[in-house]
Amino acid sequence: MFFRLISVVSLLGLAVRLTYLRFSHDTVSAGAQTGSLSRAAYFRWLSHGLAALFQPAGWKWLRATYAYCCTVYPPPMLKWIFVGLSTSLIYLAVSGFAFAIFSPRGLFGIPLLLHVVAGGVFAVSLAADVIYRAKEYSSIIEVFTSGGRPLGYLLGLFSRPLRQSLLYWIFVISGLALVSTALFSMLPYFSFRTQLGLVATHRWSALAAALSAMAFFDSVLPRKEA
Amino acid sequence: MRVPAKPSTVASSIRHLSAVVFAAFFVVTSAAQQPQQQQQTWDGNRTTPVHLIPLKDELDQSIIPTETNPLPFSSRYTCLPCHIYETIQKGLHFNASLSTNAGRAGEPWVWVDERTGTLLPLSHHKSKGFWDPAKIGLTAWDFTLLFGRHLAGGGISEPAESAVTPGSRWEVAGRIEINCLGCHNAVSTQDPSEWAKQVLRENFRWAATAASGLGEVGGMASRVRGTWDIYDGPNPDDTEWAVPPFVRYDRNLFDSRHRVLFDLSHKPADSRCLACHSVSPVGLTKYSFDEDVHTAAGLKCASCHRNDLSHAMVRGYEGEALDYPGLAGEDFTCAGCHLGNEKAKGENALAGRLGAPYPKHKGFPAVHFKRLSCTVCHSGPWPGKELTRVRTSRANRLGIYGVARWSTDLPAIIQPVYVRERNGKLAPNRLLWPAFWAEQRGKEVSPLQPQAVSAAAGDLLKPEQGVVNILTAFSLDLEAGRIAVLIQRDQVYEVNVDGGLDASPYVGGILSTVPVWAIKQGKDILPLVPEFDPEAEEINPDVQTRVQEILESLAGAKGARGKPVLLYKKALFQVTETYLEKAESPVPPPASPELAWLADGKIEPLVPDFELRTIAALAGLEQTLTEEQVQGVLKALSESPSKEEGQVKRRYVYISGGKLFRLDRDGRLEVVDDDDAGPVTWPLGHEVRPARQSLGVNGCKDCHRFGSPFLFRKAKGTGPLKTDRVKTISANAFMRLDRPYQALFGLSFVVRPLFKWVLFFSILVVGSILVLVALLVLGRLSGLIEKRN
Repeated sequence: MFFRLISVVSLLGLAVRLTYLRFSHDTVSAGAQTGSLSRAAYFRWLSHGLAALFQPAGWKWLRATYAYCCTVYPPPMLKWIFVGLSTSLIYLAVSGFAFAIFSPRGLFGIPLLLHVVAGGVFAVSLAADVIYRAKEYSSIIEVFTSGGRPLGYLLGLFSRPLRQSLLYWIFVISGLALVSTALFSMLPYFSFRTQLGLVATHRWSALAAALSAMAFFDSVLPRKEA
Repeated sequence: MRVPAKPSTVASSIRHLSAVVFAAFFVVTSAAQQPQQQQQTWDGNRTTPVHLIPLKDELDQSIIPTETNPLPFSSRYTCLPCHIYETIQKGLHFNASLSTNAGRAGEPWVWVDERTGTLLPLSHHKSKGFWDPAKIGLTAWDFTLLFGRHLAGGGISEPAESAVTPGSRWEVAGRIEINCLGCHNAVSTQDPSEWAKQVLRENFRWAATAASGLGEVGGMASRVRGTWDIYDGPNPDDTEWAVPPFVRYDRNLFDSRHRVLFDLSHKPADSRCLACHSVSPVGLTKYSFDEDVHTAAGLKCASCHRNDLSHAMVRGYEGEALDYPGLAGEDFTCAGCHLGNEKAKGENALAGRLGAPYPKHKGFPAVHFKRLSCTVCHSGPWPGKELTRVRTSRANRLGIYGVARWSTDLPAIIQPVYVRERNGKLAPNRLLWPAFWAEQRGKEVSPLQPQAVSAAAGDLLKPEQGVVNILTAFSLDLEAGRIAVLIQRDQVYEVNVDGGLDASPYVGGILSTVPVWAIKQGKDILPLVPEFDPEAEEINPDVQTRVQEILESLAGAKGARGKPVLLYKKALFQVTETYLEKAESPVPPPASPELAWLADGKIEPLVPDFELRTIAALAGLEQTLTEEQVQGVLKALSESPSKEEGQVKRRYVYISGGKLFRLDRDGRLEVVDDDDAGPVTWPLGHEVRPARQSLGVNGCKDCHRFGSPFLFRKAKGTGPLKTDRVKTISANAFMRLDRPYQALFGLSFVVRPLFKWVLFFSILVVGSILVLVALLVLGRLSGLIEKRN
């Protein structure tokens, strides 16, 4: 129950926070007045955005996003690694959290089988992604040398590149925990109590991975220019 | 105030009292005894007290074994001074018919009647497929007669005066009091077989005395007229047949003060429990049977299945604490001892009660413990390709020994079938396909009692009776060591000790398309009718004598359908007065000698074709009915006179093998599915296998693989009817699991090793890079990297 509560609150909270920031940025960039940043305006903006996803015009937005990602993750290998990582992560998150939150039985049936398959794709994609992109996010290492003052480390985290770097490594660590707990659950070496611990770790890692992925992609995806 | 116990000459003196005086005496003595009862609270001593106590009869009078015609002892009054009978009466083994809180379903009583093909599961507790005895017209008397052999007494077999129904013979037989010694007697002379025999003789009140070995019981209440009662004493006019029951106590067991030393066990020995609760696979030899792992470890049944004086016994199933909050049943579930109570604190939370090992269940995904009972993996036989057929004490009448064979092959109980229980968990169950005749009104069926079916069916259900009668008649005139047999097709039929027919393969040289009556001596089989030329002028006198003997034997056969004749070629032989007469046969000449009946001037076969067909079809099978018989009986039932005036024409059905058989509009037999024809199941707890023999010990594929018996094994309907039209249910259907998905899930385990390697290498790569990053951070922090640069 505790996990369900925390999951719902944190996932919704972060989604609202990120979309609201994007909404306010778009609104301000469009030259609107401060008063137009009301809650009602936000929900209108959000509903239009969601509705657009299901309209032909919405696909343009998706295509644009995809095209942008292709520039960030250039072909041939990295594009497909990104596609594999992102699609598997989306399925894993949706199936995992939907069952964890709404089903007392947990994940089962065909969604479970697909979850396992997606988990394999995720593990391979994550490993490949780390090989290719770890150096891009190595700025997290640099921050520890910037001035050598603890405050400097903290202030440095508010810069966009460093935030991205931090989120990336949180995501990688969570992903590693997810894959490890999945593998360890399948090995005949861990007792029932350890299994329970592995399941719990898997769930909390999934939450951390989902939150960090959301925040990471928000920081990566471009915003509308003024 | 206590009435002083007087030396008992009561059985002899009271016999002369009037019923009214006697009843008054009974009430006074009973009332006077009340203050004697002690509430049994344990004083803390862990020994069992020495039970050197006087025996009391049902009048609460001390029994003196030397007295003429003493009464049987009464457990109620013998134990009463220390143990409150009314408290014990509410116990699990005695209150089934009265309790409204049944808990988890248990094994039903099965009314087995092979003749009518009835296998009817009965229970006083509601459960799917179990029939309430009262609803099918079984009175307490009927139920006790049917199942008293394995009842522990009390409850339904000890009805109150107000519950006595017309037609019962409680006054003759007496009530069956709780048989305390049946469980607690530690002496090896305690004999459950004797108990069963006494109950079947209707010697209810004598059964405990006979079974305990305290005395020898003779006579049969079942043969005594219904007006006899225990105070009438012996019947001086009949000392052979209708002998009223009597007891002769073993005087050596009594001391000078008429007390008996009972060797009692507070916790009954396992053999006492197994007398009624044995379950064993069919075909397994006794020496190869592996007992429950708990028994092998030294535990007794009563170590876990505990009770106090109330005899409210711990059954030990998951969720028992919800059914019986005061019972502490959860402490004695598998988890209670092996895992401890995770919700409790302190000592109560600890695992390992009675030395139970703590299971680590390495590698088992936690979901298994949410969805499966412990018994799924640990109890019952390992799920092989075929379900294991077992026999149980109560259903198959096991444990009753004597000259006659008491046990029955039917019902066919199979295990383990994994069924989802009330708590949503799977549990291994035993399964029985019911079979019974019923009246159908709308969608509702009401089972018929076997005797009602027999009455309507007549000879349809006794196809072998004609052959038995003829063989018996022939055998009577044969020399010792020779018996008459019937050869039909490739089988030889002979009469068995139970008056039925035994079939065995025939490999001799008598070749005939028609049935041949023959004589069996040792292994040799010779034709009954000797070879001769019927058209010869002079027939050998020895042959004539033999033919005449055969015809005379037939004439005396029970159920003879006419005058016996022998047909051979164009001749017809018959006995007229005391002579063998030869005449011209009115029927086409048979190729070999053929016996027949001459009735109303017509030649009839000795045994009707229907009977021969049925006998041949059922030879060597445990099935007792053919579809032709079912069709005939359904017609007979439909034509039987209705008891209710103006009733709409009734429809009758027969249920067997999971299907419902009924007549269509043209009178043909049709088969349909019906809920009432479905299998009945009840959970099993034992035999528990060792951990190394539990499901999953070889890995996930013990269950999760394409075509695994655990998930996909099929339970095919069985029953007394020989038919191919039976219901088949897959294991996954019992579990309410989707077959295609489980097949797919099973297939996924083929690639699972590869999948694990993929995950492993992914972890290796990501982990290595993370370690590298961590080392770089450390290097930066410590300045080692800068210095190096």
